[in-house]
Amino acid sequence: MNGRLLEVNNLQTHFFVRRGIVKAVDGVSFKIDKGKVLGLVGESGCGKSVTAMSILRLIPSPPGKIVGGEILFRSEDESGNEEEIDLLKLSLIEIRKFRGKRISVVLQDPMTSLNPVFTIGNQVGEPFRLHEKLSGPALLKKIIEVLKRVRIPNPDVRIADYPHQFSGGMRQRVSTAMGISCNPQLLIADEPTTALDVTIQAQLLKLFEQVQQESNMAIILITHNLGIVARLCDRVCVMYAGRIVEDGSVRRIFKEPAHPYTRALMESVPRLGKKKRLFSIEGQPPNLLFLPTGCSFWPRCSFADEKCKQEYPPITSIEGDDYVRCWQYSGGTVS
Amino acid sequence: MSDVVLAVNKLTKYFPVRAGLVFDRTKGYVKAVDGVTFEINDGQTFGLVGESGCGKTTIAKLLLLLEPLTDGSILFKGKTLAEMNNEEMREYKFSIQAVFQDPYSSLNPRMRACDIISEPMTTAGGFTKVDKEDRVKELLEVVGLLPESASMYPHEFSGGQRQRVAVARALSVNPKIIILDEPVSALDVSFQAQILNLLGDIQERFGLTYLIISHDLAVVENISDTIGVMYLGKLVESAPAASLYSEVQHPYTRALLSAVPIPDPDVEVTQEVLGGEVPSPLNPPKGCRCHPRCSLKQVICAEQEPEFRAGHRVACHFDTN
Repeated sequence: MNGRLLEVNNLQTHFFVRRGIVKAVDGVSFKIDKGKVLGLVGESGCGKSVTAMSILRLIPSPPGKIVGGEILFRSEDESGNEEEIDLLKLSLIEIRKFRGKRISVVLQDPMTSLNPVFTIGNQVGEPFRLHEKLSGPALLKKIIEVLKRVRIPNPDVRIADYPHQFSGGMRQRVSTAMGISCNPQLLIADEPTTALDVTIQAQLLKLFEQVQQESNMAIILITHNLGIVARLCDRVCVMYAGRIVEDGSVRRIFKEPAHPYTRALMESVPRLGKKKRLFSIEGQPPNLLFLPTGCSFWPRCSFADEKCKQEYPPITSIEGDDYVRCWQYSGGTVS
Repeated sequence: MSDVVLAVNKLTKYFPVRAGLVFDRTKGYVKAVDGVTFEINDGQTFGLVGESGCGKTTIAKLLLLLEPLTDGSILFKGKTLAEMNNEEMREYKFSIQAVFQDPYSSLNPRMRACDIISEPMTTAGGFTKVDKEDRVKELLEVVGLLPESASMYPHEFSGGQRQRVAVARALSVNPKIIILDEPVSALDVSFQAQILNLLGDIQERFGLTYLIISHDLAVVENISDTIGVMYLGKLVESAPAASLYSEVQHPYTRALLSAVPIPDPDVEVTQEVLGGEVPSPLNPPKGCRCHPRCSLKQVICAEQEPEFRAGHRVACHFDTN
């Protein structure tokens, strides 16, 4: 089963606030193949989550609005025929048939993403009730099955427990169970392990790997932890101020980062067993209300020249589907 | 080792758990810190790592005198706090300052940066208004903020800049020791590197001693000279930062190290995934506290608690190196 699953073209999601227009996502394009893992990395406020939520059409409106672009999702209907649908053209009722069934999401903080007043059985069963119209013993059986898939011990007992009776790691497993319950083709995981301890994070990463191999679903993994990206992802998109500045295979991005920002990110992470002064990116990310002219990274970039200050760099392809948006790129790593 | 500036000896903190509305009986104790011993040399950095709830932050609170000790002692310049007179106690309080995790909640939103930074000087007394203004100006420069920021409120700063303000506040009364409790956990990667480098620079410049507490092993390793690994209120291993990674001895430390995802796609994942979760400190396992999750456990581990001796820097029944 290979081939394209999702293609995002020139997505623009803007927020209309009193002081102006925040272009949180401004012309983002990427593709993801079936059964692959795509990493979206970048600092807070660079538009990672907004991109992901735009795919599910979960942008709060007002003030947010998807003002342009297309999101082509290739899905199979019941009879197994493939069809390509532009998610942005669907009505709000139609998109509900996708949420939780073909595309689902696991959020960062399981403390707030689970409802404290319902049992976890009730919450994990919701996608089955809505999409597969199950009830009674059939529903119960399905819930226990999916709790087993996320390796929750004694699922038949714990099904009646409330979220506060679970630890942080177990709660994130419950969230994951909700996400994978209807065997989605695409799972969006928004910082799924950021709130957890390293040892629990390691358990969950292993779980993600297992679940992904078992059901061959594609994952969009949003994270700022480059270690997780290296471990799980096939491709990476690096975002800065609402745009993708570099897109490439994991191996190439780690070995030969083409964009100065990607390179700086790699070098600013402390690594085990290698004690040295960290490279730090001076300054701070730009205010999205007042973006600098030209390349939005130039005020923090040590390679910037006049051209960078005037015009936003076009897409320069590197090899295959990999590309970078930088005036200074001329093969290999910038230096 | 003559120039030990801060030492703790069998530091212990139990929090009573009470039950009952009328009689308020003590039902048990949460053994948050249970006999921890370590020392920090002048101008060095000691890093404490461990999972949530292992007692790292409680140690910081005990050192800052925010919680009374249950047992054990804190030695500052070779003298226990119990032996100190008022004058020496005052000196201790101003010699030890802290930077906390979340600069969004550790800075008062209704105070301007200059007031935040000069508040410790007001408490210490003996500074004139002009002294304070000069000092604030100097400190802002030290931590890399513009002089104009003095009159700004916390909401006008980004996360990284707020943490710089918090560092400036800690520096204002010329402390000897700064306790850094998860100083970069709430920050973005690019700010993390900025703050870690800044901390390194001011340590060199002012000859400071750090106690850094973090759950991020890579961060601790980057800045520390010595690292202590904690588990359920106890120190399980303590080693020089340079050799902890290459000569790891305790099985728990090894599992903790291997759980950190390495930012390199070519590294084989040789993970010893630590099964299960941290047991409740209300009722810690008998014997070695790590044994329910340890892959090397034997009968003795469940029965006898391994000693942590100064010579041996590891608390485990086996030589696993």
